[in-house]
Amino acid sequence: MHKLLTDSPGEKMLMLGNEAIARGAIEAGVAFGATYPGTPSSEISEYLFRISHETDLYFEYSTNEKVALEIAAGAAVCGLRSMAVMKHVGMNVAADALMTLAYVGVRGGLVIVCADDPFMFSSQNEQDNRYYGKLSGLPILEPSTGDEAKEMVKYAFDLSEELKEPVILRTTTRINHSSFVVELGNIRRRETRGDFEKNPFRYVTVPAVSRNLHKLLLQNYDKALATANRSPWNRISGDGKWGIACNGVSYNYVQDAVKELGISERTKVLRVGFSHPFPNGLVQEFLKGCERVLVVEEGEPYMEESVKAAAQEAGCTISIRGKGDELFSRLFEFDPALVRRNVARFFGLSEPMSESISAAGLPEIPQRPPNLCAGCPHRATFYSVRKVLGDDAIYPTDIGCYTLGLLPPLSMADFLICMGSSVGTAAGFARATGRKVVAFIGDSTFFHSGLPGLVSAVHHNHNFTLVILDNGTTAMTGHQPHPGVDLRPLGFEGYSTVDIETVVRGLGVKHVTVVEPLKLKKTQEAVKEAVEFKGVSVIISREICPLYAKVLPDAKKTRSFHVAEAKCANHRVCINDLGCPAFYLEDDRVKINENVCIGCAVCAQICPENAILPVKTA
Amino acid sequence: MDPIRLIIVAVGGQGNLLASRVLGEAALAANVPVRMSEIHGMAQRGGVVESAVLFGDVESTIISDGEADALVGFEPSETLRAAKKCGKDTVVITNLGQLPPFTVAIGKGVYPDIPSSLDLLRQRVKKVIAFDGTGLAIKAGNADEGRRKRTDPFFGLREERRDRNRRPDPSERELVLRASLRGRFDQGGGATTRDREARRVEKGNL
Repeated sequence: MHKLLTDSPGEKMLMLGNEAIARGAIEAGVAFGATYPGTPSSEISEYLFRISHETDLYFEYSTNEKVALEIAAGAAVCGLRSMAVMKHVGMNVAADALMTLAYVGVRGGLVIVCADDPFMFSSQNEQDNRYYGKLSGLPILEPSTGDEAKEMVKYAFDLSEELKEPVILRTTTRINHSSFVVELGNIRRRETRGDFEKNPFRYVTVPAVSRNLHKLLLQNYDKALATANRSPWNRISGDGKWGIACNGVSYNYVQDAVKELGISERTKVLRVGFSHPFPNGLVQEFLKGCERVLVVEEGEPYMEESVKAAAQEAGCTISIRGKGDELFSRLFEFDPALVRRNVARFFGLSEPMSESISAAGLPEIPQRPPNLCAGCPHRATFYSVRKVLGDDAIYPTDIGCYTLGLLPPLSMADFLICMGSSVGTAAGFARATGRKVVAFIGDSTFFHSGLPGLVSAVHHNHNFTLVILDNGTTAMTGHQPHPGVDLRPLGFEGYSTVDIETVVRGLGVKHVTVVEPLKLKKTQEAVKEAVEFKGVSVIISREICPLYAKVLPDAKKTRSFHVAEAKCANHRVCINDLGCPAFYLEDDRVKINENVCIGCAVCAQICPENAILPVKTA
Repeated sequence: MDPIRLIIVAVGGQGNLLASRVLGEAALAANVPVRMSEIHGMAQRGGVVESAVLFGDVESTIISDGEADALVGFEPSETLRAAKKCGKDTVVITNLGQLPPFTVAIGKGVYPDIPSSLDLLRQRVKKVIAFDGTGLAIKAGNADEGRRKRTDPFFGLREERRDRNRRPDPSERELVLRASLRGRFDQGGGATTRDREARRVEKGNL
């Protein structure tokens, strides 16, 4: 039985924030869920997906976040408690569905978990998704800890059913990827059978219907606002003339700062956990008696603006500050010392400094950037395309492991903005410059958002080559399935597999080749042909992710290679052109770490002396 | 209890997250308040993994520069990279087994001189305990397979398989713990300490 199904209320477990969120959903009786994987949200879905194969919970990896939200909305409208899980940029993809779903509403609770990533540990931007609350008019809940996240998920389902509209649970990386002691609660029975009552004047958003629904949404907003003003998730602690308003993980740093500065007697702290609609009534209460207020929030000045607006309405003119030159930045994440320093500075206290040791004389530490794994087929594909086209071509790329092809020596990435952008931008580069353009996209990303761009390119006869790097899994986020994955070897029945080649041909692409990237010569021939073709050409570079292959039941033993010293002339083509992490230098000679090499034999094919050979096993 | 802040740094695949998990579970079992955080965005791809474990009465899950009570490094260059987390009262415990980053192999960086760097560190922090943990682990039958030891978070099949075939070896942690309790590593063990320990381990003389 899955750990998160443990039915012993009161038991304490150490849980990752994401585990706590999944457990909260289980305790709330979630019956239906969908996601597209994205760090820092991925683990939530991994747990629920596994649990779905042990119970009557339905959980799926949809092709993208919009589809995930739509399927969850369908189930919720039929009365099922449903959940859609995504990272912050995934919310952009789901936003089209979200904005009008807010009008239509739901019957069963629908909780949308959206994981923000301040500092961009693993994201292309650090947008602050609290603004999606303002944009959609939907409630937003923000936990400060994992144990609180679990309780908030349960509350979010109740609130969603009370208001009959979706509720957004917004986390940040430091919630998702921190561990907390969590106390288990009771598990509510799952209701997995829904029903649908036709009501087109509620559910079909033609203008006449939507005009009524928008009114309804605003009435709901008023209800939600009243709830937020009374909500135990918004709490004032302490008393004094100094006010601090904060949210999320900033609350933890503020609590530590107040304690360490010894100002708890003089300070009043407002923690906002139900942050949209913003509890302006409670804030006005909080402001009474304050001489000055500091707003501590990562990201944008969402609370700061709201607190200032609430103060204005109440005729309160005290100093309320948050973001600013001498204060907090809108960039990146906070940390305890930063918050303590700013609290001390704002209230005119001398700050106890914690000094880092001097770095004087310490050597510079060589960078350790993440790298494509040893034997990664993407490396072979990149090598071949570079061999054929060098820097003559423009290489739009996409989001996945292969984005790491950006780094030298491969240097195979020229442009990236979002999932699927390789295809769309490739057409722009090709039209605007007339240069050769080769775009790269992964299999999962292709299903996620590569399809529309490709259809458009076929229709307009754009002239570029799209390389689909098909490694048979969503590798970057931890090997989640996608529509092109055969799940039978893993023991999961009942799925059909969508074949990428069939799809591409079906979209009308006239020049399609499937290559095995570890065979360099043939791959390079295919690249030459494809880039000569006038119009859209597609190369499907098909080779399983070696990390994923290892976990499949029929995992083959790999045989590593070594450098035959007698043959090696120290050209270093292997190290310099491939950058495989299995290579290392010892006494100025290239060696292969046999524990790292998986025997893909790509380097063996490019060695001018044929000096790289399989290790003989006795 | 007063907060104790511990940072563990390692290279992806060295078991950093597992190590902090073990400490966290131990704290939970001992009724010590504990919170942890980890940054492992690209751990699978050989990047740096950093985790923070905070014991006692503290709300934060991360540790600011200069505020670690203890820094444990599974790889010496990563220990040095994390030096800014140390203040004058920090205790540094580091493995001496090196895993040079790939940038060194392709001449894009120079691997630092560890002994002289640790000497500098010794002058600035409370204490540096350095020894060849990798060698100990190999001797103990837990050969560090580098990045082969990865488990798959999604299906966990590999993990289960491994657990079934596992011999109950004395773990690296236990070895280090026992040896360090005897005060054997205070002088930053070189080969002699390592060999002595290895011999003891071989004899099963723990």
